[in-house]
Amino acid sequence: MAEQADVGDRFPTASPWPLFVAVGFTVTELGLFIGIFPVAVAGVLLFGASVAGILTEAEYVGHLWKTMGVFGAVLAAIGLAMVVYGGGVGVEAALGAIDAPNVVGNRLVSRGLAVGAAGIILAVTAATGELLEPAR
Amino acid sequence: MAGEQLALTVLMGLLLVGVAALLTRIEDWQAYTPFGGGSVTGEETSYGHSEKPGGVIRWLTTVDHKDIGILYGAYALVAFAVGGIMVMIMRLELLFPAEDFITTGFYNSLLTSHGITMLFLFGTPIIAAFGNYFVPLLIGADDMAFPRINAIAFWLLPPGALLVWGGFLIPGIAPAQTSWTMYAPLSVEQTHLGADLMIIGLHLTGVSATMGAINFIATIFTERADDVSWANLDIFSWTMLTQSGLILFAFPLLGSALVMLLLDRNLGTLFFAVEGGSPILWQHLFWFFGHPEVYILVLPPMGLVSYIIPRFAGRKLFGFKFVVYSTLAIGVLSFGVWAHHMFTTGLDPRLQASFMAVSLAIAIPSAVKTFNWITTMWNGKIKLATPMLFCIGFVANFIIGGVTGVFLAAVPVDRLLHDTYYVVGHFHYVIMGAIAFAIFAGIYYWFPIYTGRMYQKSLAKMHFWLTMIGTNLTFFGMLILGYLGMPRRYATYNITIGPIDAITLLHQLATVGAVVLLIGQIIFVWNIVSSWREGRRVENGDPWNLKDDDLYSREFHWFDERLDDDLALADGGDEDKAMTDGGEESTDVDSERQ
Ligand code: HEM
Ligand SMILES: [Cu+2]
Repeated sequence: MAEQADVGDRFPTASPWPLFVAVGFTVTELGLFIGIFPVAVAGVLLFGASVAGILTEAEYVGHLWKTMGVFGAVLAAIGLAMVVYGGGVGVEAALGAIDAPNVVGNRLVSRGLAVGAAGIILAVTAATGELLEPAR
Repeated sequence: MAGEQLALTVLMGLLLVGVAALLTRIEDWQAYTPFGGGSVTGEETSYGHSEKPGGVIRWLTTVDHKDIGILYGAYALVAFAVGGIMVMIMRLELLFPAEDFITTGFYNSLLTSHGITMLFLFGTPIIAAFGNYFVPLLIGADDMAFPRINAIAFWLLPPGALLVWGGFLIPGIAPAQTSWTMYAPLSVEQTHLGADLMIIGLHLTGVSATMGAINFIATIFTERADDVSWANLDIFSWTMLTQSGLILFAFPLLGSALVMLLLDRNLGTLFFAVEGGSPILWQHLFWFFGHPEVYILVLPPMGLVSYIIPRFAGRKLFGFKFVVYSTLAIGVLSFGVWAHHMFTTGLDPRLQASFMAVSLAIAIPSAVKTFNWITTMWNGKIKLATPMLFCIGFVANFIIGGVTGVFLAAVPVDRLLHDTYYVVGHFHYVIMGAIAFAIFAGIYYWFPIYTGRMYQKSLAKMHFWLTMIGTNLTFFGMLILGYLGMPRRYATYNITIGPIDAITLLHQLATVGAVVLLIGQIIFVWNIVSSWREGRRVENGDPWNLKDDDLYSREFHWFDERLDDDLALADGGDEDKAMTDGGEESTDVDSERQ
């Protein structure tokens, strides 16, 4: 049995995360390339959360919430950079971009907003998680 | 309105956070470990299947290489059926010259989808199926090096397939009509949403293949058992290793090119525009990927054939070392021939000459393999079991496919034959006549291992003969069509000049061949499904009598051990192995031997 436990340790036989990582990645690409704001945000969220999940489960990282938080912060920064570079700063411009994502001038901004929004939500979720359940 | 969109986003966000929270909660699948006890289906067995959850959840969450291999295989066979049905519709349309029962636009969509489906959703995944199931067994590893990445790679495929077929599945949007090569400017200008979906789907399958390749490389380098050295690594694993190396260099490039195409289509970049990077840039990027891709598809099947032929010829593979070297040589050379697809684009003649030279050179290692297979069989104790029949069919068809390729590689010949049915005949001889044949050989050869049962011999032989005859009817007809000047990728041929009667006849011949192929494949599916469910159990760890010729190999050894385990204690993990003692059937095994 000892030998068995070894194998089980190194080689898990089940994990819930791969499916979600894959679906998250798919939805992200769909949302970002075609330009559908809610889909893009959902995709990035699912992808980010499941990557944090699978990394923790595989023990590549120690803390679920910290990983998720860092991931969210990085995404938020990237998104913000895209928005600024695309010239979409300001509520008016942002709402306009979400409304018409594939119009010249809005293309980069709308994608940036989606990535940034998802990043912020991830970071906030992670912070909340850390408060409620610091052990993970 | 932006408001609505935002509301929707918030809703989705909440939902997802909920799901994620739920997942982290049940994440402890370790509750299924033998030590946790109390799981619904888990019972202890001696080979560690006990930690798996039961039912559908097992398949959705599995990271076991054998399960993932089965998933890949099932997925690929479904894709094979879809791609096959698509091409049947096309062939029926081509039965007569005029536009008969489908529109030319729909024909173009089917053509595009057939190519992508067969290459990316059937070809690459079915090879991954064999790789996943058997490479760890052949090299004595417990599993793949990165089991979770393995699962991610698989799960990218079903969404990829849905997107590739999205243009057909989603009402109201037009499917892509770009052909599998997606040449710019057509692929940039075509407004069909189906094209975006297809490109995204293709990108996903590319990411999947890359993840799989990294996994195979890491596994073969680091997970080999102590007694498996580079010198005695089996030939199939060698070809998987080389193929994975090719994937590592080819697929990320395809991925990048596809992203550039998507950016051109949706974000206004000019990578492939005349005023930007030029449409020819696409062709270079695509074929720098595309030619290695054909070797990505053919190397592991060559490995299968090299692995199986000796076992039915009663002797070791002739010139093993040279088969390995030729594999590596093909791997390297395959990156130096891509412009043989572009001889008619106005490439500098000096470049054309050098690409011609390398393309001709790549025929040499291919021929080395062919001669090695023939020499292995020469004077051997040939047993014409179904796997062997398919291997011999492979060699025969590969010779025609390869030689026609060498003709095409000669610039002056290609000027005449480019974009005719000759090219279609050439690559189908390789892809259907050789690659698919090797896959069938592998499916039959290892059938006892992954099902514990034996297929039905006579049905399998029928499958072989129908496939062999159908392939040659269809694709030899196409070679002649090409000589007659029939261009490829047309839904009609109601032309007024040229040898119209001969062209019509050959098209009809090709359609008849396709029907023969279809019947053969229906028999195949029937055989696999019914034998899997109720075929005779294999109770002998050496169903092919390999021990007689000292050709017994690791995967059957593993199988044998598992049979012993099954006899020793009931297996709870999965219901069709629940038989505790099948001893009484062992007398039947002899009659299964071919
Ligand atoms: C013996 C080595 C081979 C040589 C020298 C060769 C040469 C060629 C050439 C020159 C073409 C371009 C024809 C044209 O469009 O005018 C071509 C097309 C093609 N070959 Fe081969 N080939 C070889 C082996 C293979 C193999 C092993 C495969 C598949 C696994 C393959 C698959 C294809 C495909 C798919 C195309 C058509 C691409 C397209 O335009 O859609 N070839 N081959
Ligand atoms: Cu080529």
